Amino acid sequence: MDMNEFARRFTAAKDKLYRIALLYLGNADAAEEVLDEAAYRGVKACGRLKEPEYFDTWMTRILINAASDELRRRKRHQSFEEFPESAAEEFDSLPLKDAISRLPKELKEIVVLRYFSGYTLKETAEILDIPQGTAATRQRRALSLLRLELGEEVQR
Amino acid sequence: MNRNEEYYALLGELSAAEAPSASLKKAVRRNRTNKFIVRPLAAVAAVLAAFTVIVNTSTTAAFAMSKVPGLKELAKAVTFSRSLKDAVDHEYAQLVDLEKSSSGITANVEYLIVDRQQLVVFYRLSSKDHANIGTDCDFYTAGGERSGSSWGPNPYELGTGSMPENGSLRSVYVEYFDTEVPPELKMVLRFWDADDGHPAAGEPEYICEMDFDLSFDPQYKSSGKRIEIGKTVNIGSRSVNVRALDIYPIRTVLQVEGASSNDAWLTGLEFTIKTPDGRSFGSESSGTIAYSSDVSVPEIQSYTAGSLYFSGARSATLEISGAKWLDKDMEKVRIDLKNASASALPSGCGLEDARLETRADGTSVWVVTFLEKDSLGQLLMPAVFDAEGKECVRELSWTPAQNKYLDRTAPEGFSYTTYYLSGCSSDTVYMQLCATEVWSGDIEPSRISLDLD
Repeated sequence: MDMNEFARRFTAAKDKLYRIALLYLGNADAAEEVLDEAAYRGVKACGRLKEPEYFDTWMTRILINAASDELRRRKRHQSFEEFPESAAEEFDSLPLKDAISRLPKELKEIVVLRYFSGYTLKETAEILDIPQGTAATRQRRALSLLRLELGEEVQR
Repeated sequence: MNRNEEYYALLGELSAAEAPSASLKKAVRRNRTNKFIVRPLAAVAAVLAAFTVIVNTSTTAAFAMSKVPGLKELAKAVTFSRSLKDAVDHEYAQLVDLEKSSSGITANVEYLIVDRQQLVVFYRLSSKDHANIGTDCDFYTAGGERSGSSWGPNPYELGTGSMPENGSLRSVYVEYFDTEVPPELKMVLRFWDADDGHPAAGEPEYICEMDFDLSFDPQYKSSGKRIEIGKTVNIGSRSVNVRALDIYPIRTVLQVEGASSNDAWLTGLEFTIKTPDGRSFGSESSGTIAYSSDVSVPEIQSYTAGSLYFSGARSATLEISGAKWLDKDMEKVRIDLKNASASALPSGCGLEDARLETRADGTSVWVVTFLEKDSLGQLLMPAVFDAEGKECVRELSWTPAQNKYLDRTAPEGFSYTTYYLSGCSSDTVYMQLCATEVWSGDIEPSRISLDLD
């Protein structure tokens, strides 16, 4: 994929990517930094994307990885705590947005992609490079923790 | 409001959120800046770079240029670099196959690709105890001195854009600018758990370290040829002497010098080498240039590009399409931190804000934001000195963004870069400009025909 094509597709997708980062990290400044980093990684790597139809999932994967790297960095320098799955009461006590940000990483990814980005279970599994069954299991656990009752497929 | 109601409310709130508009522009600019890295002056060389990776090869390793096992996997791993891909396609790879284990981590150094001035090491990590392993690497000569100028592991060139997974093939690069790759090197790998984050400076929490001894086949190191050019091109009102082209198996090096009569130092060059069959050789991704040599010495400078070695071309055309210049009267910028002012900067650029922050741990950090012209790329070398020319900060970092105190956005064609000066011992500091002027794009490129035979 050349730069012009990347620029066109990134511009069309950036709002969606930003919202993923916003939900993942919990604040606009961090989401903007992560979007910047993901854009840079995409610019460097776009020459290796041979199938443009996979741009969305490819770029989303880059963003999720950048967001995860940022969370790891923050964990070393600030007190940022993910709650374990056993801490149901802690999750219940938080507004939904905060509860999502405190989910363990593997559950947060599923929730953000499935219920706030419009990806199907199959697409989510591809982005995260996990089996679809694993994605389904994590989805059930996440919805249970968050006390959400949502269908299997969510409209985009 | 129950949880489902919260969900729909949050969905509505997020749907209104709009991404900042500058992310792509910043990314493109950052990518271009990395292609115009200015080699450090002698005074700043100690500050920059130096992350050397030492790779060990067994003296019993197979040095044969053909029938190197496992090359198919290596070929898949190097598709990000046409030079490396061409090298592997022509079986220009040295099998190493060294393995060491410690603290539940196993490292396999598998291949080397080496020529006279560059070394690329391919290795793999595995562990049952750590899901994601990060590595820091250093290279040393037989005498124990740090060697080369390198980068790596680069997680963004192999894999999907994040930390390489355990078991995946990783790469490390080592470059030599003024000397050649030594006949032997030692690589020291230090491992950290990527899920815990990188060990903080001064507080190493490495899991373990391993070293590997490498020696290189002289046949690889001697490959390459020089094409003498000896022509002068005019770039705007200034002249550049194009002296020679060195073609190595994994890089091409253009040797140039700015004319002594120029009123500015040449600090960057944009060029493409085109072969009759339509191939273009420049940087790996866009076909333009890499970086320059010591800007303080107006002598022969080296600019690297993708390798023509395996192209089979007997002729080519060198197109020079851009150059960066540093006005000889504007090399250093004097920065008054207390008054947030700076001596002459390139037109349109400026010091926007400087203030002293006290961090939670009690350390003081000067936060200094510059407005930079996008066309110039990186404005300042990342090194800070006092009036005597000594480094005067304990730690320096920077980000292509404005600081949180500025409530305005950069005008079109400009961007902010913020520097963080920790432990600065002076209120008046000096930084080196990278360029004051750029010439590119809208003028017909200068062309030189090359005979490669």
